[in-house]
Amino acid sequence: VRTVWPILWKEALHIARDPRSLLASLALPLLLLVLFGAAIRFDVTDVAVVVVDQDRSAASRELVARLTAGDTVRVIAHEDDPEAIEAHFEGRRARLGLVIPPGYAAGTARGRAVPVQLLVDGTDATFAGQALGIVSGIVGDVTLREARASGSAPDAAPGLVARPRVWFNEALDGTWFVVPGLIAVIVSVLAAMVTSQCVAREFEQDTIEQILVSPVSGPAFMVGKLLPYVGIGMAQVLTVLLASRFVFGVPIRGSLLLLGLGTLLYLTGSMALGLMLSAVLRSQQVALQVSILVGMLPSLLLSGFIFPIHNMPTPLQAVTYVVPARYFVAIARALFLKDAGLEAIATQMVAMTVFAGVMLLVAVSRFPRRLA
Amino acid sequence: VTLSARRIRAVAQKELRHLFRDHRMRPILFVAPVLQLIVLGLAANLDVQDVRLLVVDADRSPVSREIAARLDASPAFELVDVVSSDAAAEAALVDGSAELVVVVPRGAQRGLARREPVDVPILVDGTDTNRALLAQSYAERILARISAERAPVPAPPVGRPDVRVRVLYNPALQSRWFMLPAIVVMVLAIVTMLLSALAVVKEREKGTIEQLSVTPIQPVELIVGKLLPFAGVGLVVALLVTGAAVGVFGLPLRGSVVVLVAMELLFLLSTLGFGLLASTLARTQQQAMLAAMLVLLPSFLLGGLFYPIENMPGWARALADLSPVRWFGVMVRALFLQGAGFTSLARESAMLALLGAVVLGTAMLRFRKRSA
Repeated sequence: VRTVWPILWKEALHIARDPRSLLASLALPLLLLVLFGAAIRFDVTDVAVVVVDQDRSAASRELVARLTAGDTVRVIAHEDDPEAIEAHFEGRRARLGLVIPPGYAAGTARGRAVPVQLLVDGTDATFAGQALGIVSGIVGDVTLREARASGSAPDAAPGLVARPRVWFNEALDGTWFVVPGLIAVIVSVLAAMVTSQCVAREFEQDTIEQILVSPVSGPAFMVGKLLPYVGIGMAQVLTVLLASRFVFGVPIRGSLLLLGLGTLLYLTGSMALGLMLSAVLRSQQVALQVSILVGMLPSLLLSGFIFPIHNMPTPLQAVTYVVPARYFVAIARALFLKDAGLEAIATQMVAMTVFAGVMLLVAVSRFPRRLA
Repeated sequence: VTLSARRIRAVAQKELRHLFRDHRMRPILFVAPVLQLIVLGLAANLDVQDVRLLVVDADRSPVSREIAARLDASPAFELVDVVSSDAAAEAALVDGSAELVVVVPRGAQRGLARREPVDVPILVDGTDTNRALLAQSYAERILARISAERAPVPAPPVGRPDVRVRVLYNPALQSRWFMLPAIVVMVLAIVTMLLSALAVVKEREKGTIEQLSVTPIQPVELIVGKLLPFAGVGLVVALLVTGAAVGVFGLPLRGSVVVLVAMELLFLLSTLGFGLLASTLARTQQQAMLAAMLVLLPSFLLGGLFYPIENMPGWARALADLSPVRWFGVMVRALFLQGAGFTSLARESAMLALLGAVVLGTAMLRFRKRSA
């Protein structure tokens, strides 16, 4: 245990000697958080529409006017031929096309429901779904208002009246959803990257031989290497937490103590993963490529940060159990927006502890006993 | 300065030999991207389905049972439990075992029979804003259908638009079809950028850069010779992942393969350029990696790969325009799904070529200065 100190000190000196990297690793998470927190929006605020008005009547113009009355829907072009809409889709100028057929005014004047075609560019399924909802909501509202005006629709319809109430993220603010998950991603990326380098470097520069002839044991070497980086990681998370609280107003409703403990476990696990790769692969280039493969991409895409784990095929869900970010994303979401207690996140905590332990054991077991 | 093809070939051969001398690089470069595409493609599902639903049944009537059964029958919901108390529902929302709670109040059956409005509270976990919104609107739609059947209101004989929706390019609105091209872009960018990011800095770390500078080779020849093998690797990776997207997931490739490959080459210009720039800025492999990540992560998250650019604030859009990923992403989607021709991609390819030229040019200038 006494030999942990010299290694730790040596590693800290290494880090301090390269202030550019140290500063970058502290500023980077903050920059990323502010950038993404402010830029990523889930609420659709701008829907570009092409209108093909084949009726050219007061009624058809009124329909278009109602559609664009809010700020969301914007008419970017009028065309004569419905065929022309697709060119706008392919030029990515518009996502929706509205075709009002000839006879629209005459038909509605006679009290009929006249088919109006709405073409949707389905390339971005999520955006298309939301835009469709917005437009059909406006048109549906037109229908209802006209029905009320003619006195045929009662104001309070009988039947089941849905009373939705949103919990935890009451204003449905996308930033509140993104930020907690983002912390997990940012940290894991940096963690795996930084540590995957540090052992491999000793192998590449052959300084590992000097370590081997010293009285430092394998476990002491690995722990000494790990601790300074865990310290940097905790500093990163703290800055990011403060920024998310004070720049974006994301609440932390759960226990800070649990959040800190969860972060520590997650950091240790991610760092130990990097250390393990570094010890097994012994080449900075290979360790880097692999740490991106098993570190960054899974924590971005298999952690539930972007895609719900629940939606994945069962074998893939099984894979997510070895992605530590999965547990941290769950913990972060539970402790930021909800006031979840220990019992709700205990499984995640245990899983992260096991992960960190296994990674460290593998790393230590790959530490050479003697010179090759 | 006249460039010598012989010297360029010599560097390219040396670089290729270096690249594959570590036998682990072959699977990392060629097998891992395909595996990534498959795994991430399976994960990339943003369709709102199997939302965990809890029904609080305070009425215990045929109506309340019908509500539970009809919601459960929808692919959007998966009924996890029917409980009788609000407290149990709230606990389920907090610990995450339920995402949406529908409360059927006592007297629902009687109220419907008497044609009175019956309030049905819906509690939604708003953490994931998009999922919450869509799940809520699905639940509302199903409730409206049930009440229309049980307490029908005659349709008002009023003239109105009757919207008929037609979705182009992705008729089933599958989010996976939107995500697969994005994953192709990501995988390609990561592999090629990391390769070139380490290219120069590795020679510098090992001191072999000095040996190179005493040979008759010109800096430009050295760069071209180094980048050519990487471009070759990139092209093979591009073909492999494109093939996997089409072969494994049945993603339609409606545009021309020739145009796609041409665009992929154009894209490689800027990813290799960014990597090289990182390599000239850094003193160690670790710094080069940090720099590469600093470019890659924002490109992925702000470049419209996962989150629509339309929703972003103006400054973020302007920032995104500087990223090759943003332009290439649009093109890859247009080529796969819309079958766009070269003419409709002119603006994007011009931007991509411009960015590539600027970045690669800057990197070369910097390199020449440093080595001079």
